[in-house]
Amino acid sequence: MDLSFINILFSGLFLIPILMGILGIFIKPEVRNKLFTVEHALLLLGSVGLGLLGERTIDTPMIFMAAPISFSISTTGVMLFTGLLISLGVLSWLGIKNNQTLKTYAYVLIHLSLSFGFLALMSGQFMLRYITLDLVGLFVALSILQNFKNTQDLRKFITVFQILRLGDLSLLISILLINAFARTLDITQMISATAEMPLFSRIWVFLGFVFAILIKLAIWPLGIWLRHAHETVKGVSFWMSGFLMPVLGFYLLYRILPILHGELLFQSIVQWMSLGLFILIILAHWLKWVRYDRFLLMNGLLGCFAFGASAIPGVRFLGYYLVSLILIRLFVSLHEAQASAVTRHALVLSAFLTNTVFLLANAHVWPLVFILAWGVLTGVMLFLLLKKVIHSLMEADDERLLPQDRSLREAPADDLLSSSAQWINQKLETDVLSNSFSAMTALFFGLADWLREHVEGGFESAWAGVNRGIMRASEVTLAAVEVKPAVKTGDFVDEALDRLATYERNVLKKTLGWDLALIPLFLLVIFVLLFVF
Amino acid sequence: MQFHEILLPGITALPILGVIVLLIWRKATKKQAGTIGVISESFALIIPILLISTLKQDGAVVFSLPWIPNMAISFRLELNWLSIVFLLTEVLVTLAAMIYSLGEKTGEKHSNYYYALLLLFSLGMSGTTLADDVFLFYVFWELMLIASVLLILVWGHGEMRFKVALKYFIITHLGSLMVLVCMITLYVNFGTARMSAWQTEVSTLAPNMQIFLIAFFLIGFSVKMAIFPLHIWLPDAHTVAPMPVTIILAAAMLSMGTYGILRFPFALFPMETLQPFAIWMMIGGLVSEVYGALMALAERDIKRIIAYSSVSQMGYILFGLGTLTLRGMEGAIMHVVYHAIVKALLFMVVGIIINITRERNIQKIGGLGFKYPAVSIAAAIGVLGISGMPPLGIFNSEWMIFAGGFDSGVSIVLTVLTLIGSLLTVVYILRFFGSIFFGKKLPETLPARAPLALVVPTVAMAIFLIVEGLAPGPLLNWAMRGLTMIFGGA
Repeated sequence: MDLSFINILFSGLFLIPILMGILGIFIKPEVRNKLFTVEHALLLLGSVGLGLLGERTIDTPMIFMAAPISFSISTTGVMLFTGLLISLGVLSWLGIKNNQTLKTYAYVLIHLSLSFGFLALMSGQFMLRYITLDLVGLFVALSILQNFKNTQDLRKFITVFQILRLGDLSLLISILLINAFARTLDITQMISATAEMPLFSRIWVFLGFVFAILIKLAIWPLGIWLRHAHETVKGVSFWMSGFLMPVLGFYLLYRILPILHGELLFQSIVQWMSLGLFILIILAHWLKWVRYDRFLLMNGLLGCFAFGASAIPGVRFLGYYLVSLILIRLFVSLHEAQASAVTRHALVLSAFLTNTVFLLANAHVWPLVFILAWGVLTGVMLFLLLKKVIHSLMEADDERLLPQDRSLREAPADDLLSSSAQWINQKLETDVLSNSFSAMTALFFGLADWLREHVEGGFESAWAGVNRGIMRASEVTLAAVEVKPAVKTGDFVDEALDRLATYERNVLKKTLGWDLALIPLFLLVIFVLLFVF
Repeated sequence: MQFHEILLPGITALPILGVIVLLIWRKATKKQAGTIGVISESFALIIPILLISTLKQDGAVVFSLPWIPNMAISFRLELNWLSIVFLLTEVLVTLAAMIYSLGEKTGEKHSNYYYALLLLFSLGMSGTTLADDVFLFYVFWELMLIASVLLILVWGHGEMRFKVALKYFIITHLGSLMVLVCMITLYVNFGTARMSAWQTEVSTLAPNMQIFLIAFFLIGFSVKMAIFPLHIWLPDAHTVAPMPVTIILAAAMLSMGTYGILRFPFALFPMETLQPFAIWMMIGGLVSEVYGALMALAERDIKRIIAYSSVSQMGYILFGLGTLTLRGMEGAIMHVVYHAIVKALLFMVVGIIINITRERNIQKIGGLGFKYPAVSIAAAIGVLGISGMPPLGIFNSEWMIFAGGFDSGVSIVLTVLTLIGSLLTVVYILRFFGSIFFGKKLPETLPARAPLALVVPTVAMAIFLIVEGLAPGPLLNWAMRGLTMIFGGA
């Protein structure tokens, strides 16, 4: 890797956040805020500069597990990173304005996430991307740990980490399957090679990527981790969960477009899945039985739009659309922080403009059905944003419904739609999805306990039983072969001696003594006579 | 005889010298006896490192002396790329355990015998990896067992140690007997005890005989690896053994089973003959992985949690071996090393916790995080390591094992299940970490600090884990060379 300007710029964009994160441990919060502003401006300039230098590949002499590490600078990746920087800047400005002090721990995590998030967007090698995504997932989960003495936070951290890890593992399945076929870790070559793979393997690859993306985008029903994060993490720290991780999911979706477009089956699955999830998200949020808050609602809906749009071959300006989704999130966050008519209008307008412009830009490549569906669903989303009841939810005390606030949901519904929504909310959302992770964990614990008692305990019992059996056999054998014969022999000898004594007393009237010595003498005489004759 | 050929037997001779000194010096204090043990073991670590340059030149370092010529048995040691990986792993772990033992209470009485037995335990493992004569191999193999049984019997905890030592001995010995049957069969058929001479001859055996031998070898060595359902000796043995012995058992001795599988069935028999066993090894590995993780989840004793974790991790290794692909087997060998480091680290942490709290029930321990930051950080590194978080070592080996699974051509579903099953590791290890280091307030009676003599080797092991993870190149290189030696570059 030579010392050209672009390499220095690239290295700077990666290293500056790490160095500032380490430095932040040792300096005061007030100084930190100022330094952060300067750092942020530098990173923004650097990112724009990187984008202006155009798309290119940076090869490095570094090797990971016998595969060379390279970086691929793409326009979409740089735009997304720039969007992330802007959102981070706005959120941190908001935090400073509201006199919110960022803890050192959160400060370090944000900087580490920024660095590795940058690498994840720029990586040209799939394994490096996986590593960086895994690390960002860890940092996102760690951001939940606000208080080390609070076991609730710990449980949320474990849940979030496990879900994000599950997503990464499914990504790893896809990566390894392609690698087994293509024998390379270069992302572009791997994506191209999937077209040659057998359909069965390609289906696994597709499923692995889709599952990973759904988790990263926190699309219902796989968005529990984002709900925990949103409930627990406040202020600029939420940027990691609410912005960075979904954007990494967006970029992963963007990179696997050739796989989606290469098979009609995959396109159909993604489109129908997006539509189905969109409808279910809306039903789950209907009226006052909404469990998620506005951020999660918008996150889910926008994720479905992005997902569905990506499945149409020939889709244009998808990168710009994904960047605009970052800005919509920003407006939602602003509205949450300081709800006002201005922020609400900005939110509605941005959502409308984004979707409409994107539709117009793609109207000539999209099928009519999809255009209609896009239009209708955009209208539904705007209707939800504008509808008074939703407003009342958004402008209310900003109390998010917590799991224990079930009394609201248990009140009887008046009409069929409300009762259906209530039923879905109760059965699916609450009982299955919200409690599913706890239930799954309890299931694993239960299974583990059962196995411990019946299988492991069975081994112990079997071992103890075998031991007892062997001991019993040994004891019986000992008694039968050793002890009893010895006792019997002893008894026999005792009896013989007793009889002799009785004979002495009763017959001989004298004690046998030396007379007994005559017996062997007689035997000797007999033996000699036999020998002689 | 060249200098390196003289140096090689020093790996076994110097620990024996240490044993003799300790047996003579009966009044040695624990510190004195421990120092002799550490010095002897250090030589066993330095010598192989010195021989690496010779290995690079010649490919192997051999030392041979006639022993029982009439029976074609010789005292023959061979250091090659495969054996050096396992040798350095076990010597390093034993050295770390000996240093750790200086800070804890076991071996206060009869210290000379304690450290002599530790040296013999290590000698058994070193000799196993170096022996090129099957008779010698078996002698060292049983020496490993006998030394460890005595250590558990004399210095183990609680009344149960007698029964546990007996169970450990019987079950492990049954596995050893299966291996012995195979060895005798091969010896009788080929008329020599030299293992390296068997490689060219084994194809002359009848196919059924080959299948029988492979099966017996695999089962026999799987007992040592504690693969489900042959693992039943492990949890109790790990629990009652003194902590340094537990560290060596879990981190080093289990890997001898892996070495045995590589050295015998894999080295001797052609790939076509091994192929029918591949899927069974992979299934056995998957079952062991999942079962061990579930048991770790069910357990409340912190020592047993980590003990069952070993059953799970050995499952990964057996899965990797079963793929019969280069990547899978390289991953398995690397996993042996990384597992040894992380397991030693976790047991050291457990030892510190027990030392501090006098408690082993996870439900009665909590909130240690802030009070003992060095221990917490070391534990966190161990937890992240065993979870397979990059860039810590186990990530490198795991993805190679999974890659091998996909390369193998055996059902994709099997590898997918194994991959997803690794999430269970995250579940139980996070529960372990969270329960101990987070949560409720500490009682006032805990010591202000963890014993430095225990913390230092623990932190050193954590640093080593990070370094090994960031620089896996040399280890991968050795694993590749070792496998080339076995499979001849195929």
